[in-house]
Formats: sequence, structure tokens, C-alpha cells
Amino acid sequence: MRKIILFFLVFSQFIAVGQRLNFGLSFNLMSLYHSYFKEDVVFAKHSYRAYYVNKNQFSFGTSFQYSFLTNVDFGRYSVSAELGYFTQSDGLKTKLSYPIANNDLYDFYSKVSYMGYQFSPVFNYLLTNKRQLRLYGEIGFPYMLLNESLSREKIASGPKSDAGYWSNQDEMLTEYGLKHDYFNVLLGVGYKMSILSFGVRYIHKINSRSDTGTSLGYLTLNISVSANFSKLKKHNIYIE
Amino acid sequence: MKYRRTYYVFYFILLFFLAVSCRKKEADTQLPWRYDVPVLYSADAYDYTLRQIDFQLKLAVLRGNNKTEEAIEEYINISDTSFKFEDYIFNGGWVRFMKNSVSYEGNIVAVPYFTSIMLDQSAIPESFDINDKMNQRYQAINGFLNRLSGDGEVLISGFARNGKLSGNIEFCNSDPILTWDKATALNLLELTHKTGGTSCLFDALNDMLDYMGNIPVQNKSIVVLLMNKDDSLGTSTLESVIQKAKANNTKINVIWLIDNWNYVDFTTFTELPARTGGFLIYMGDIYQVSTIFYGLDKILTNKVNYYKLDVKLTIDSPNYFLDSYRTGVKIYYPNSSYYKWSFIPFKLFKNARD
Repeated sequence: MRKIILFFLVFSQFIAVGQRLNFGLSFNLMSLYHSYFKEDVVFAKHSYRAYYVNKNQFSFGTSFQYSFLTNVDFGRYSVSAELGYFTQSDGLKTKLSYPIANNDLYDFYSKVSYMGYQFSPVFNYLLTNKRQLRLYGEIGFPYMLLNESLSREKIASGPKSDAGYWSNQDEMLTEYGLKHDYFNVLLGVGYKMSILSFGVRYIHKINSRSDTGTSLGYLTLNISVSANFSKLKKHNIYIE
Repeated sequence: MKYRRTYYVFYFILLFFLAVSCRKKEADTQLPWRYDVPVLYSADAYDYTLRQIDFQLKLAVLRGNNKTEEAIEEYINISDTSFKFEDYIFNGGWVRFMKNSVSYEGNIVAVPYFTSIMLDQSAIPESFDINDKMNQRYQAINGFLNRLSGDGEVLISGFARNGKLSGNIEFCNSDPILTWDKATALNLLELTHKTGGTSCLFDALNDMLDYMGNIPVQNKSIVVLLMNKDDSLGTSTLESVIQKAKANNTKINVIWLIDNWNYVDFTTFTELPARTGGFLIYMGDIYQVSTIFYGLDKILTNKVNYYKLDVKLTIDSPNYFLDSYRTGVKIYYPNSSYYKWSFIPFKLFKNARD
């Protein structure tokens, strides 16, 4: 909470000196997850199993984030604050292999779903300045406030199985560090039109010291709509 | 201006909810399925004649309660009638049992221990590939390591001759551990796919006893998860191992898992613990392995109470008892949802503990 208040205090300084103040909505849709495990064995935190894992794993899932957006620009530069709700309902999937008899491996699939509020300060830069379609790059540091009571994990015998063997599992929730709030780093690129912008973002979780070292990031589509309140423009507008 | 005010209202309402977050209850530990199991501490014949044996059994009875996260519970309300000795006819004459008394006792003096857990990795004639298809034993032993209380030092190893191990014995940890250790748990996991070869039980025990010989701990033991009988290809024998264990003041505890009784070396399995002061556990089902290992720390530190049974065994003429006699007892579990009874085989010796 203190981090958010501190950002608002800093952000308000930008509002004071910025040229235009825009408001809008931002949506992130779909996620292509990438998990990286430091080692090829994961020890479960709430059972006494251990699993062999592929160090790099990818899974595709339905996620949705909607945010209220406040944007202040200074010519090519702009600063945005996005405050919204993120839900990963389809599940971050991980394949876990448990050694059994006859030199065989029994594959389990962990499906983690989580949701929470996300606050994202984002810095944008227009890479081109064409009239209609402008290419931009962005970097941000979203802060995720998890709604822990809604975090779920299921273990199933197949990647598409909806019926989990067990519910209320915690084989991977702790491994991914999804049991506490965390910071991300955001990198994005896209195209901006007058009120609409769309692009691609890569959001990577920053691990805390207490985390296991497993990395988690995801690629998502971003669409933003912002209203241009012309009466809010101040001073002389800098135009290139 | 009006719209901006409305926007800010929504903005700060959302901000308010940022401060509100429900805390989720920590997930329960998901222990594997476990069954009840008895632990035979001792079977002592205090009066052994040709036609009558008076003996005493000390048995702990562990409960595999799957409704709780608690790893070990003991049955404390077992009635006398739950312990059954079955009379039978032998060579035309009756062999009869009579229970004199059953009491529930404990001598809980917690003692630090040093133990070496040895896993039978042999595959001939039986292997874990037959008896433990889903690798319950890894969860059981890893659970034991996770629950170490700091009262004991532990070594873990597997043994087999001409199998997939690096020698007759392959250690999971080169130094004893007091608490869970990642490298040890990883090596233990890799033992799963290292079954093969024949059992070098006596040679492995001999080598382990040599290793533990100089350890200055009073409560020393070896815990063997056994399947196959010794292959007789080595230089050590049952008698030499027992004598060395006694000389080194080391108990040999046997946890016995078999599928086919024809492969059982009953003499070895019962004499090793009986003559070295160790305990014997006979597992009729692999689901009992979790109950045993989750409670092993308590068993090794003498924190488990036991039932003491005083029994008289008689045999009709002209049959007579020899220097040792093999029999067993059935325990019927009260109110168990999973396992109705267990059978414990044991052996009575005329000259006990020689």
C-alpha cells in the first residue's frame, strides 16, 4: 500500500508539469506463459513428492485484465498509471513427472489460477511520429496485489483435464511465488492512433529473496482507449 | 469537468479495494494414503520347555488416520480381544494359546539416535517395481526426512549386488543429516530407477556395521526395508552379521515387504531384529509404509507406547517344541475404516538373545 501511495505522490508531480492529461481504459487479453526452473527437480512444498520438470515450459491460457488508465504526456514521452484487476482463470499449466516403477514417469499437470489487483506505472516513448499510426515502446513496473483466497491449484493426469485429482493443492503455488504480492517488470511495443493503441506486452515477475528462483513471465495483447480532453491542455503544446 | 470528477470517484473506489485482501488458509499437507500397522518390539520366551512356552510380546500399534494431517497416532483403546492367537492342529495334536494378560505401557525416555536406512534395491526375485508401483516409499522416506526433530542423525543408502548401483552400497548422503537435505532427497529420488541385481543383504549389513562401528552414540540402529533374501554370493553370513551387530551395540530393525511368501527367508527376517534388539514390521500392503516412516522418528527415540502381551503356548504329546518356534498374532483394529486386521509373524527362541 505504501508503494502505491508513494507512486501517486511522484506521479502527481508529472501531472503538474505535463502537457496533456488523458484518461481511459486498458485491457490485457490472453497469456502465453513461460516458466523457467533453475533445476530439473522441484520439491513440492505441501506434499512429500518431488517431480522432474522440463526447465523451460510454455502454456497458453485465457487471462483478462482491465484497468483504468491515466496518462500524462510530454511530447514523445508519456507516463501512465494503470489501476486494474487481473484474472488468470484458465490456469498456468505445468507438467510434473514423478518417477514410478519400471523406469517410468507418471505425468501430472498442475493448473494454477490466480487473480488480484494490479497497479502499473508505465513509461512510454513514441518511436515514430507519423500522423495516423505511431510506433511506441514502453517499460513499466506493475505491482500485483494477489487475492489469495481466490488462488487455486489443481493436479490432474492430463493437460486438458478439468477434473483435478485433488483440490486446494500447493505443489506449484509456492514454487512460483504466487502466495504473496510481487513486482513485475513490463516491456511493450505497439501502435498508437488518436485514441486507440494496441500492442504486445511481456510481463515478467520479479522474484523476492524468499522465492525459490523459478522465473515466470507471460506475453499478452494490450488494447488501450484513452479520451483526449482538449480542455486539459496547458501551456504551449510541443509538436515535433 | 463533471466527467473528470466521476472518473476520479471510480478511480479512488478501486484504490480503496487495493487495501483489502483476504488471506487464504495455508494448504494442508497432502500426505499419501496410509494404513494401520503394528510394530513388534520384542518377542521374548521367558520360560521355554518341551511342551510349554511362556512368552511376552511388546507391540506398538500405529494408526494410519487419513483424515488428519498428523502423521502418527497410536491406538490406545485396543481391547484384549483384539489380539488373537489361533489354535491349530499339528501332527495330530493341538497347539493352543492362552493370553494371561494385556497391558498398555510406555517407557518414554527420549534418546538421541543414529540410524542408517538401507533400501533393498535388488530385483531378483521381487522388486519395488512389483511391490511399490507408484513409488509410495519415496514419499514415505522423504516425509520422514522432512519431519526429523533434530534428535537423530540419519544416513540413507540402497544396496544390491550387480545392479544399477555404483557398488554394493550406494549412499544418498555421505555425511549424516539432522534435518531435511535437498541433495539427499534428490539422490533418494534417483534411487527409484536404480532397481536391479540380487540382494547382498549380509555383505551390505556387514559393511554398514563397520562404518558405524566407531560412532559414539548409544542408540545406534540400522533400518532395512527388505524384500529379498540374501543371494549367498558374499562372504558374510546371518550369524556373523548378528554377532558384529551385538559387538557394535547396533540394533537391526527390519521392515519387511513381500508379495510372494515363497521368496521369504523367515529365519533372517525374524532373527535379525530379535537377536539384536531391533523391531520388526511386516507390511502386508505398501500403504503401510507411509505410516511407518512418518512415525519412525518417534519410534527410534522411544516416544511410542506399546502393548505388553503375556501368553502361554502349549503343545500336545507327542509333539514337542524344538529350540525355536515360529508363530504369529493377529491384531484386529477397532473402528478402522481401511484395514481390518494385520498379522505379525515372530519367532520364539529357547535361548533368547544369544
